[in-house]
Amino acid sequence: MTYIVLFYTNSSALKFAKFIQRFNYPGELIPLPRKLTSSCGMGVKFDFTKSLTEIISEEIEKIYAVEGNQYQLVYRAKE
Amino acid sequence: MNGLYLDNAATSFPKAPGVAEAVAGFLTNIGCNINRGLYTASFDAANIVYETRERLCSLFNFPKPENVIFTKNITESLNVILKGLLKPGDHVIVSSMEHNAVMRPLASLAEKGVELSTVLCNNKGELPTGDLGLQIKSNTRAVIMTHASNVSGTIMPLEEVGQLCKEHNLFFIIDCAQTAGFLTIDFLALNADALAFTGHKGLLGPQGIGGFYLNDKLASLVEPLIEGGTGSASDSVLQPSYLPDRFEAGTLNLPGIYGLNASLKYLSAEGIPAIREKELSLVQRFIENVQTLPGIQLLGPDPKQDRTGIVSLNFLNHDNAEVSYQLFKDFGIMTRCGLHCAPAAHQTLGTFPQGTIRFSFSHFNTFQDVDYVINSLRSNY
Repeated sequence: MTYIVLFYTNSSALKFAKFIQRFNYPGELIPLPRKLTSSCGMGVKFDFTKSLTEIISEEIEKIYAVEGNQYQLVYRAKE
Repeated sequence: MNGLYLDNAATSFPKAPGVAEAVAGFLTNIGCNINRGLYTASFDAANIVYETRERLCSLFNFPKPENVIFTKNITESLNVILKGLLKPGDHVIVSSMEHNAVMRPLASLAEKGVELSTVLCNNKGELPTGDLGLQIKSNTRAVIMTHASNVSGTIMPLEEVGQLCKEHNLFFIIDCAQTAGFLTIDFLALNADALAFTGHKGLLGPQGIGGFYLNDKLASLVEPLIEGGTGSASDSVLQPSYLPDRFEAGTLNLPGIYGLNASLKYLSAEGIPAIREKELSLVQRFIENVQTLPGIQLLGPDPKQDRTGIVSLNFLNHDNAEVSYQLFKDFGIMTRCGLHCAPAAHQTLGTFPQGTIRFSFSHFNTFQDVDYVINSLRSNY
């Protein structure tokens, strides 16, 4: 499954991009689609087959699953 | 540069190998901003900036890369921390060996009602830590201290100061302008809350890049001095509260950060202890020989005591400025004469207002360099 991860800060996105690189999960930093956020930040798009609970941290705001042109919200941090 | 440069305490030269190439490489091949446009070059630059924060974390044992804030130099860093934290009625303590980068912001804050106490050091620049404890009051908020004097090379007992601050719940803010890249500095072991550094001295990077680290507790209390665009949370007119964006409005000095990244790589490969050992061997040779020359007063710690790569001399039978000028004119030796932006330190050492001539070495210097200076002094003074 391909996911797009949104973070509270750009630093967290950079850190996460390094993390997926280290574990060889295919993916990269991307400019976030405008429909997902009104901020002009960066996110990480990556392929992942394991359970999302393995990567959830307090730095993650939202995770969308990418299905074709559609984005499905699969995780949102509690306020 | 023609001549023998011995003013490394002001700014280091030469820089680390690879620094000039890294700066030029950024300007030639990358050139774009970070956190704004979202294209490959921008991500590359963002990664280097983040990696530089990580390298600073390894160097100083800072726990969180995002709490590393870039500024143009340590003076700006100290201004942000001091002016952002201290309010009228707060009391702060410093040593009598501080640089004007600490004293001037505090003097201006004192006019606005911040109380300032100075712990008097002895005439070698050494801090009586016990006296520091006596200055603590109910409204004491912070201790701000240099890690080593830029005039005498005296190293401050920061472990003890940090312990005292911890016991009394005071913020401990360190100015490591003269020790970064020379002494092993462990932010956590020192019980520090903030540490200000500059890139262009012992860290061997370019001018125009410096920074500071502060822990989360202090970060929430320090008001930013500069606010503006961060490329994040752009739907709001309010400055983001998270780090580093809270303190990094406006475009960063990216050429400077690329240069600093290269110099940090070099420092990590060489190792701080090796650099220190080399520099101290030069300083020891210089001091041993200077002591055989008449009419020259050596300032600062006893020759056998620990110190940085700085030696301040006072020429008893000559005007220090004239000696410094002649050293350059006749021998090409570049030193720094005067008060070194630290009038309080010179008052403590007993060299105010005549000042001293400061010889500050780099580990790139050689024994031949030292001998050349000694021979020049011996034949003329």
